[in-house]
Amino acid sequence: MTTLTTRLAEDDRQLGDHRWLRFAIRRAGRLLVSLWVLITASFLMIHLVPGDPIRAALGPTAPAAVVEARRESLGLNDPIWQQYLHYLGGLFRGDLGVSIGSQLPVADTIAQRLPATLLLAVLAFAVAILIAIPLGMAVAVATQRGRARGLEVGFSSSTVVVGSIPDFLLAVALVAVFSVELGWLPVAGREGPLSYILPVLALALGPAAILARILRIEALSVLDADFVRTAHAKRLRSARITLRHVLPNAVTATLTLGGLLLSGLVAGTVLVETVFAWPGLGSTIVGSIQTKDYPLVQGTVLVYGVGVLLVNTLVDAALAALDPQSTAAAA
Amino acid sequence: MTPNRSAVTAVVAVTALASVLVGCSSGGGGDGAPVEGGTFTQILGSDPGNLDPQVSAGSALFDLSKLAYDSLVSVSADGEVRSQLASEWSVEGTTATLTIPDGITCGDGSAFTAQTAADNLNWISDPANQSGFLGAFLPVGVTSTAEGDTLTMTLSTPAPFLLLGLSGLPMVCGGSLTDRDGLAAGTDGTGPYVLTEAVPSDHYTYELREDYAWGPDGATVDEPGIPARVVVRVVSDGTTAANLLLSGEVNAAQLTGPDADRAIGADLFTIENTAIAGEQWYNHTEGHPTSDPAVRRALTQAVDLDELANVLTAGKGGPATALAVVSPTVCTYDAISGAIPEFDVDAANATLDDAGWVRGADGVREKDGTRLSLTFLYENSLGAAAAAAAELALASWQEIGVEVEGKQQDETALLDATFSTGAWDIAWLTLSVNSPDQAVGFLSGAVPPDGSNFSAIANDDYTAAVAEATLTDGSEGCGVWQKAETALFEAADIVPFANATVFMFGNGAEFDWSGVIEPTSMRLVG
Amino acid sequence: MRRTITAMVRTPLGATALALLALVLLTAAFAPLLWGDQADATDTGDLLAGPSAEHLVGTDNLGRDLLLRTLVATRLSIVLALCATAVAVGAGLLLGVAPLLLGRVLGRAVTWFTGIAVAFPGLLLALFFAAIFGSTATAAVFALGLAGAPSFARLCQNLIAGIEARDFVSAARVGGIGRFRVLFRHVLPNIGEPLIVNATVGAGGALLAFAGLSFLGLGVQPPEYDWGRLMMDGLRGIYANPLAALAPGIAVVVAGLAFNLTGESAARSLGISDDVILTAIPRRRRARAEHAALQAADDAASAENAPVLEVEDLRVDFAGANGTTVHAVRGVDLTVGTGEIVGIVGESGSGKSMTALAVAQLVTSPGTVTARTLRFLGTDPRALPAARRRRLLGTSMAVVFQDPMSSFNPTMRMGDQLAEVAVEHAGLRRREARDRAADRLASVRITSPRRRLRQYPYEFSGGMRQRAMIGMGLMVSPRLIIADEPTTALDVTVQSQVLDLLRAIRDDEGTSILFISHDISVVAELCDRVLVMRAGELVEELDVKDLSSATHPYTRALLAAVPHMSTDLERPLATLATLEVDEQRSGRDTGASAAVLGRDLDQSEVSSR
Repeated sequence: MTTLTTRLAEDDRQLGDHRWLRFAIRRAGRLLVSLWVLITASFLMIHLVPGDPIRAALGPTAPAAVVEARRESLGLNDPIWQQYLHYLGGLFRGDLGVSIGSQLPVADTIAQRLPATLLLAVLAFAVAILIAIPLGMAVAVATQRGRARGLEVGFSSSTVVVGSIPDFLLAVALVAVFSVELGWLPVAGREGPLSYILPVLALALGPAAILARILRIEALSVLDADFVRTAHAKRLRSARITLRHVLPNAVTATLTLGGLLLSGLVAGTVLVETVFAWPGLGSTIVGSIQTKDYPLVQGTVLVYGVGVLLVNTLVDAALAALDPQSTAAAA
Repeated sequence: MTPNRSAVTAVVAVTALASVLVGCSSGGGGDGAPVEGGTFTQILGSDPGNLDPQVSAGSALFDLSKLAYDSLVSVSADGEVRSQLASEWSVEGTTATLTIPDGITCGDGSAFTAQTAADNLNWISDPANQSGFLGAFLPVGVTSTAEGDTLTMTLSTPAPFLLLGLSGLPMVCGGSLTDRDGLAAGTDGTGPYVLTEAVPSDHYTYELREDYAWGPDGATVDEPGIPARVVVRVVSDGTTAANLLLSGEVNAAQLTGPDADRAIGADLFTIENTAIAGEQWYNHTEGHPTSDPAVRRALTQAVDLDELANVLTAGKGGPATALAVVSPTVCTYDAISGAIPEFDVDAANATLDDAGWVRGADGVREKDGTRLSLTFLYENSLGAAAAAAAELALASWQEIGVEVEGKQQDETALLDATFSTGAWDIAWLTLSVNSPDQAVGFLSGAVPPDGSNFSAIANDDYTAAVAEATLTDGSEGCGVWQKAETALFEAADIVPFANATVFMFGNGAEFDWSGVIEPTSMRLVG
Repeated sequence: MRRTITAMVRTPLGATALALLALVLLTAAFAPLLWGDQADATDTGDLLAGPSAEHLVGTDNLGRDLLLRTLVATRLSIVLALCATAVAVGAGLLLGVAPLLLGRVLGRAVTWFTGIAVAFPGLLLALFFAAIFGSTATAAVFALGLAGAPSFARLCQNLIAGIEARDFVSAARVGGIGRFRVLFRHVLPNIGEPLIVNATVGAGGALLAFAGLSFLGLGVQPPEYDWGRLMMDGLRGIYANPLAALAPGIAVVVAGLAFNLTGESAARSLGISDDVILTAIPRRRRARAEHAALQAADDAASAENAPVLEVEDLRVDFAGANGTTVHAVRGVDLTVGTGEIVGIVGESGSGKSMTALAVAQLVTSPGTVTARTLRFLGTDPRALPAARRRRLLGTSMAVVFQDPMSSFNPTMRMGDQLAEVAVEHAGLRRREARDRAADRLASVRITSPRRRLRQYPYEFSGGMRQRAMIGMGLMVSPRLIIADEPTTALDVTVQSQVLDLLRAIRDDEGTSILFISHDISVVAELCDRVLVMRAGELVEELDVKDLSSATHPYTRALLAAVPHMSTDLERPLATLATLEVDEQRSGRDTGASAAVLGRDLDQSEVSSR
């Protein structure tokens, strides 16, 4: 009897240690397959949408012979499946192709512009979280059980208002006030820490408001939970109850939404990048789709896909860590 | 149209003093002393990508190429040919002769000779190299040879504006002609500046070459106020560009629309130029209702083109004058007024009635069972003004019983439709050319894929006049070119309807500008 | 539905939301009728004009009035946004609940597919649909809807994943309830609130997305116009005429506000029970001062052998929304001596739990607690500053709650939950606290305590959890344990273990226990003294050995209501109402009633073992 129990206990321990390793391997495999599907889908879509990138890149004044020569050399006269296989082959070699518009290697272009966008997105997300979590929790505690109705209305309205303002409109307004009128901050460009302030704010304020709202709603229902009453009965400090008992249980929807917002930020910096002349990837994506620059589109979709899928995996892992009972851990 | 601040800029009231101060410090040029050894910052609207000056003929690259590369000749704003790399030149029929003097050096110190020039021209002429300059700036079928300091170009057909084309053709130094990899992110030319730093999509930095002495008309860089460094910043948003200009963070920017209004209001150094903004093309191919001259005429008569021009340019422009208006131009005539069918709705209706297009029960005309139903394409990059103008045109056509479906498209889709699929009847496409001969391939001759005549125009009067004009050289032939274009407009084969005023502004700097800033003319002023 | 709306209107949040929504919808409906033609009137002589008396916001590229255009554009903007949201929510819900319905393998496939779909750039999707359907509003609606569906689906899936493992879902499944029923009746209502809020957030986001599409020339085509188009057109001239972009921008914000507030308010109202909405009564500051004075006077009189708990005239009140007051506890007196086990018994709604909570200082707004005397270990906790009160109650009073399932934090390990009591109140370091926690778990007879420390609450059975709760209360040395229906959720065997445990704690440590239950037989088994409560009042108080000779009819009814081994199987079970009627009908006096009860009570197990 004892032996059985001991062995079971050991197995239990081993399984527990390997639980995260198995999780990681499973997710990595799934990541690769997901990427493949993403690449294929984007390849098909961009090639099936009508439009002539070569003629557009060379301009209407280019002779037909030149256009044809370029088209031939880029392999665009080959059948679609051949182009697809060629592209996949290139991917395995690490070659993302050459941009039709700029004639530069796609990998170089992405490597140059990606850090700017990533930095902006991550900073904006961090700022949003740093604002949203304390704000949401504080207001939840203040408005629980029907208290402070005025605060509730005020908070709900202001978060919705701020969350409803389009980020490019906010960006333009911020520039108009702080750069053009007051001259405190640079108008555009990415040079020096001051130049980060306005773009990050423009991107972060909307998500911060939305996250704070969601968090407050979730926290309110957690505050009514029995185990919070237990924590009060244990006469723990309010700070500890809020941080250790309420917050981890309140973040499910917030975390998921946060993950969505982050991945949305990575791809959604386009308009803000335009307003601030920020040298990032966001404007590349839009521009390349508009000019049907196939290799560049596929390259940026690939990078974007990797980023989003990674963020999703992180969110799942965090959810599993926070709520071990959730089947997300087993998924 | 007086600007009026309100709402968001409530803070303005408080900081009015600050803004006045800002305005003062950046206002106007010309009354300050030249600044020695400074940095000239200019704005580029989009990133040119590959910096090889002879592969892409995109306008984004022109500004950059001009800094590091020279052309064989240069042309002033009023069309006069001046020396650059070549000190002497002559064009006779199908032969052009240019003299390249000694003493011209590249950034790395190597010499630039007539042979280098010949190699350049032959490289561009070869279609296998896929140079975007072939056809537009250098006619097809040119062979070039060099002997000593003489460069001889042999053309296949006479090219009346050869020198104008050459003035836009950058010359690359010998070493890089064959091994072009370095040109993608670096420069190898004879120009006054050398690229020292390239951060694509952000900025490019150039440093001055002290020994440069072969600018237009022999200009050197030994002048007060010449910048020691030039920084080109890539900013795609016009409003951001205006902000940078007004705050003094950049010295030069090209602005349009309301952004230009702000700069005009700030009383900055200004240069104006004309560009073609609205050109209405009809599809002449068989099977399209627009192949019927009466239909084209009626469609033209139905719209108030002056009003259309006003709306399209948001008040900063006017009626079109000719096909080639982008400076530097050689011919400046007005071939349009008096030629294009006048705005007259009754006449439009009559034209269609006479041609047998009868109004149906729902108001749309029909003839032999075919509804007069057309597809109208226009580009989306022109923004709200174009959409507004399109709405106006659509309403006008509906009035005369034509059913038109308008589609705003991006450039690739538009070019695909016009050059490949042919699924269009009316299109607004702007062909920006400097000389009338650059447009010939679009207005006559072979249709795609063999040629560029995508609207399938076949106007014998035009073709005949062009043949005559091609025999005369340059500005002497302007009268004949005008006659040629008039033939097109009278038949309403193609209808240019709007010229826009393009503004270039300088803040703390002055310069010559004719589409591109002339580097040797840049002066920083305090 | 009507009830929800009525409930919504009562709150300031809901009222504001509905008012805004009405404004938006009315504008959408009537603006085109009122101003449609005017908004199309062109005036090319007055292009891009700034605000003036004639045109309050200015004019556009064709000289048309921008304010009117903004108002008229409401209809198209709202319709488009709602359609796109409907597509997103519909598709998202389908994808989101699919894993639940399709079983493990297919379900995982769907989850995985959703993960990929989220990574797909919405822009590309929009272009694709533009190619298929043309650059029209229809294409944009589908594009945005389908682009937004994966995000919604993912949210659904995550929330459902959190619910799925809960016992009530497993119970439903085991009970043979079909998947669809489980979905609609058990899962969806529990995730409804965040979903509704997110859907309304999505509607607001759809408005913004249409603006972004206009930027690229997709979406609404001329001559149609929506806020998106108006905003992008105005953005170019924002320095010359800021209002041109701000007017549609403000419209977007107002509409977004209307959607979001409505959604949030509706979600909250749906969660409100049928009972009256409780509101807080203003505190009576005078009462506090009274207490302080009494406290000062009584402190002087406190002696060494003071009772552990002394309560006089305890009242707990709640104020209802329509002006009525609910008196949950009406003047209860209660004393617990050292080492005493006192039971409070009564039916549901008698106020016994509320009494316990009030004594434990755990009643919060909207309830108010007043008492002439309330002393714990000789001190009135209400008169103490917050930190000292926490210290006093945290070290000397333990509370055991009724429902072991939900009384522990599901995301925290059991060991940590026990240890934090000692860390907080006994000043122990974490390692020492964990050792003590293991010791306590052992003392409440939980096996493998070290291993159990690292487990989560869901890995404990109900009985184990209840014992762990008691163990948690023992982490510091309490003088009083308040146990609120601690055995109600447990089976009889486990129940007797818990009762044995409590008794042992009293015997070994001298801890007093205040034991609340509706089951008089349990109370009789464990307690020294019994208090009977009914409708908020104390009706009788007696020693447990006097229980069988209780005089109050209610007490006797409670006793009779518990069937025992020798209950006559032929007769219906005794209920309180039945006995009263019996008494009245028979008209017998109290003595005779006692005889009736006595027949059943002779062999009763009411007397303690």
